Amino acid sequence: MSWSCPTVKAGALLSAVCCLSLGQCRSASCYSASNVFSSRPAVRGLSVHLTVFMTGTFVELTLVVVGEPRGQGAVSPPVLGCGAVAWRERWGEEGALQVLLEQLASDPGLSGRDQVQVCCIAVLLHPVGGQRPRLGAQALTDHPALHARMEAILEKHLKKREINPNVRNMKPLEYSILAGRLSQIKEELRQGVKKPYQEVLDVYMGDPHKGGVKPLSFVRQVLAACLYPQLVNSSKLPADVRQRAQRLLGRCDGGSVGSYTATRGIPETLIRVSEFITRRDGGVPSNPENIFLSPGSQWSLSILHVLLNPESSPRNGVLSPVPCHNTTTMSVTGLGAVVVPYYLSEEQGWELQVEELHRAMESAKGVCNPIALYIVNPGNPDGHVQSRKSMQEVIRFVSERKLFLLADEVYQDYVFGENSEFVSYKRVLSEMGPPLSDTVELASFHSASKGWMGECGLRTGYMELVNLDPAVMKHIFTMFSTDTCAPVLGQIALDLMLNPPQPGEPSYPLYHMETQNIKNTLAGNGKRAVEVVNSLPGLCCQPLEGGAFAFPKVYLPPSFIQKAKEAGLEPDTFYCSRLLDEAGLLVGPGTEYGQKEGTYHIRFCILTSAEIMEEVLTRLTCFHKQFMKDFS
Amino acid sequence: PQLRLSQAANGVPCRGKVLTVDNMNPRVKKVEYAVRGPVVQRAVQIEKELREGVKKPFTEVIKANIGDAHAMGQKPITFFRQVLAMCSYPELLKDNMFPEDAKQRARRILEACGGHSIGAYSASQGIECIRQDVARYIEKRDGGIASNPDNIYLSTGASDAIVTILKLLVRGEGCDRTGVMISIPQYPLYSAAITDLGAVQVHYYLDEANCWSLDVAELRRALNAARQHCNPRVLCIINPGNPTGQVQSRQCIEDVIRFVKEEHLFLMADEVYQDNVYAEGCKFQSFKKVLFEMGPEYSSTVEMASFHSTSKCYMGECGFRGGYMEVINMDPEVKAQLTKLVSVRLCPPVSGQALMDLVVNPPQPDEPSYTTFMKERTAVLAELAEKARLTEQILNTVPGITCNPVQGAMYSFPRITLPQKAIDKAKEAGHIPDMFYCMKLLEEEGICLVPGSGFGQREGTFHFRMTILPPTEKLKVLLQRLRDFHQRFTQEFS
Repeated sequence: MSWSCPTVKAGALLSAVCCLSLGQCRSASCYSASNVFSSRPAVRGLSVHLTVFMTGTFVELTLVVVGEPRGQGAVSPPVLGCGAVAWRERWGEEGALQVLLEQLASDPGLSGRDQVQVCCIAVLLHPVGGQRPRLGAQALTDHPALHARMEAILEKHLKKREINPNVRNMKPLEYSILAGRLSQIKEELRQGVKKPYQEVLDVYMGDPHKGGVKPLSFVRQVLAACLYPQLVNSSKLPADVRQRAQRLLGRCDGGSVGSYTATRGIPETLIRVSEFITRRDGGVPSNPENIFLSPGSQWSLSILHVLLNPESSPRNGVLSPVPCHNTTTMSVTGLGAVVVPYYLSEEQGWELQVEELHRAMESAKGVCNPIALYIVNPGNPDGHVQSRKSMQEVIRFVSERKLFLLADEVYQDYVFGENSEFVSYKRVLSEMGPPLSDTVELASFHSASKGWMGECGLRTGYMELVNLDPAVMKHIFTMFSTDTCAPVLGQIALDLMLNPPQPGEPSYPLYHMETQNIKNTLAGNGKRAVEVVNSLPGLCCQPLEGGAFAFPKVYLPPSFIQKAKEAGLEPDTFYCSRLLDEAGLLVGPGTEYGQKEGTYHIRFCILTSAEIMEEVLTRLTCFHKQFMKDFS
Repeated sequence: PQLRLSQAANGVPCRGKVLTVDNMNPRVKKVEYAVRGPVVQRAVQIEKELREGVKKPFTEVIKANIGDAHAMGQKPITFFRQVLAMCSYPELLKDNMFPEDAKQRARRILEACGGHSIGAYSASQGIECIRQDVARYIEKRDGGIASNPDNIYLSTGASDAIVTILKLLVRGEGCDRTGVMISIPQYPLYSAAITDLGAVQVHYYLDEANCWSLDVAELRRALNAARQHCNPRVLCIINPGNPTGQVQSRQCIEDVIRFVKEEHLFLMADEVYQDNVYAEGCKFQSFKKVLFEMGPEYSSTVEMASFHSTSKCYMGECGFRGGYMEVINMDPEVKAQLTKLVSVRLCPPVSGQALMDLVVNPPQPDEPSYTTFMKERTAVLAELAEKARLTEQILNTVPGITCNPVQGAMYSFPRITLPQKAIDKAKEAGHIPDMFYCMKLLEEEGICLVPGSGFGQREGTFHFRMTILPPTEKLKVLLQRLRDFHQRFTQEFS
């Protein structure tokens, strides 16, 4: 029998050479194990018997653990040793292993899986009826209980907590790098360190209130009255506010926003949502039974969890745009599925092209089995608004390719391109008529974080499901019910967002003024941002049609890219980090959202007050001009 | 009308569904959640029928199925709501209708919010100054044992935090799949999440004969048995217990901690009922406090997470979905992964975070709101204690029902003796016997409870979970009707 003794890296312990067999004879193991290793030059390893009771038969295992001192290079053969010691006889199985592993842990060359190379060789040499023992990983596959036991013992003794590999595989956020720097800067400013700015402007997220947009008075007045019902009887608030609050409280159990609601949301609010959808879509019916409220649209995406089968082989895939806000792709990875990127065409104003969808489908061959297409319209971060024609093509595509359509439409109110108009996928689907309108399965998302009130902090969104199999709906309901319900204040805010004050009501004039103001500011900011960005050398922004962001391309000189590499950062993250440091402006790097290889972008929120937008653009201009000087 | 699948329109063959029961995530298919299960769904239907004028032997459905205090008429704490109202509509700060300490709290919270609005996103881990307040609260609660705000994660109710930790720890295939030890009976959020994540439930039984106490020998039995088919990595403890209402003794907590250390398990301590302790001689002690009092051998090694929420205790603000967890001894690298995981959902509701802040930082003796606050808090807890006692006492007068003392939390979980004929009848109809019982109770008396099978129970025993939350008078009526029903039921099937 010939052995090779591989050096295995962190986490690969279980693929280490292992050989085991079943049998009754015990003495043979000592002999064989010694025999195998006696020719090796050193004796630092230890071995021990491990007996596991399994399916009525004793499996006897000799574990030889071999360590290699750090810093001596991975190529040299590991120092190893052996000697089958019948410690089990003395201390029992657990005790023996403990001694072994404690020695291992106290070895300065071996301080845990991630830092040192550990070679673990499990040997069991008891030929059954003259059979040769099986070698390697195959043996572990054959004896999963033993495999698990080894893993458990090693985990326990190496004191290392291993976690869900799907979570590990989720792409780390570039934001965390910048956020670390952000809190440092804030602290420095607090301590009075001199900087060219007095405070940091943070336009990383699509967060209007953070960007200086004021909450809508009507919404906040109703919420206050719901929170503190004495206000319902107080003349401090307009009559329609008080009526609205009273009506909404009447729908809460016990008349309190502190009680749970039904799983899918307050029943009357679900009806309001469906009425809104019907109105928006020119009369296309919407069934309240198909609407689910959740603590934000990222929670609604747990529909993916129903769609994606973690046990399927090949794995499930989701076609997802590039660029795309990062949380969705993280969710897909976190569920153990594969993100299949399709690229939006930057040159065509970030248009979605169906040929690209076909290409993406082809690219998935042999990798995964795509089952859903994710669309963001209006686009985040790209600000493109899809045309009806493009949507029709997408619908035909998903029908042909048997994909579930996920339409993220949270920016539906933010459309300001001259010839742009938001049309919902539900509406286009319905207008296309049968068989498409009866068959294509669609989930559409909207959120109270957006709209004119922009209440991100209240965390409520809704999802409408179309054409789903009723048998599946039952399970979706159960899954949602484990989350109990969406925050009640958020549900109320959503109700108000979809049913604003009407002309003639006391709150209407103020409401109208505030929303018009935000609408105009957004359109103005969009125009202004494109204008300013495009006036700068090396920056180029496609015309914005909608959404809450600008996503300009930024040309980064090779010398800067080199510098970024030295800093261990993605070039655009490095750019953002400099921008933050030097100008006190926090924007997102394109890397966070995905971009064509070799291109770089930045994203910033344009749904801010006009003053803040001006300040953002001034800081960007100032920084970028200096930057181009420094690196050209 | 709903859009429906047409068989074939215009001769075009219909496209089959992408998502069907056959190809959907098989784990989701297995998820059950009794707290909002068939009995509750039927209760909602019955309420609708009552509204439509359908004649029933009762005029309203009493819902004692879910720990939802406000729905049962409990009033919110005035101070909390004043502050939150001002946070929502800061114009109210200019008014003189609210006390100065409430105003000061509202200003402080708004100061910590982006754009001074609770409508802005917060950091994914939660607003920093609120995490600091939580840490200080924990220190005070635990007699000075340090708590680091970096270890606090605010969450969307405790459930969110619990599922997040489970998601982080579930791994492995086949026999290496993570096993999660949960009590029987247990709160079905755990079983649902474990099923959903494809992990393995490892059941340990609480000792009904000893007031639902937990015995480490039973933990060990369960662990060893489970090792044959999975890799147990997590132990979940609910203290005070849900649905069983027991409060763990100091000794028992120490035993659990020793066990967890020996077996290198991650400990999840669900302590959302920490203020709900009623029985004489019982006292809530946090796992963290006991862990640190056991010395560095334990306090520097045992990994754990402790959960709390705004939904229970004296405030009962379920609708805000506020909560937090504290993680202890978590490997920094693993913590970084946790932080990444929580960032996917952006942030917990800021209104819930604000409320959590008030819960951990209530009015102090020298502040104007203190007296009212304490009066309200004490009244709620005293009433709950009285209802806990009342429930146990009355239930134990019913032949065929035995109920352990409700030492804490918000539920009683009495054992019911069902006649063999009823069991047979239920099985014939394809029902679990206690589900059959609860459905019949609902139809005949308008009382909505959750069958014991939804929480797990020893084979051959039957229970139900009932909250102690209805107002005292209503609770008495409920218990009276329950007694009548049980006697009628027993006669009918004997």
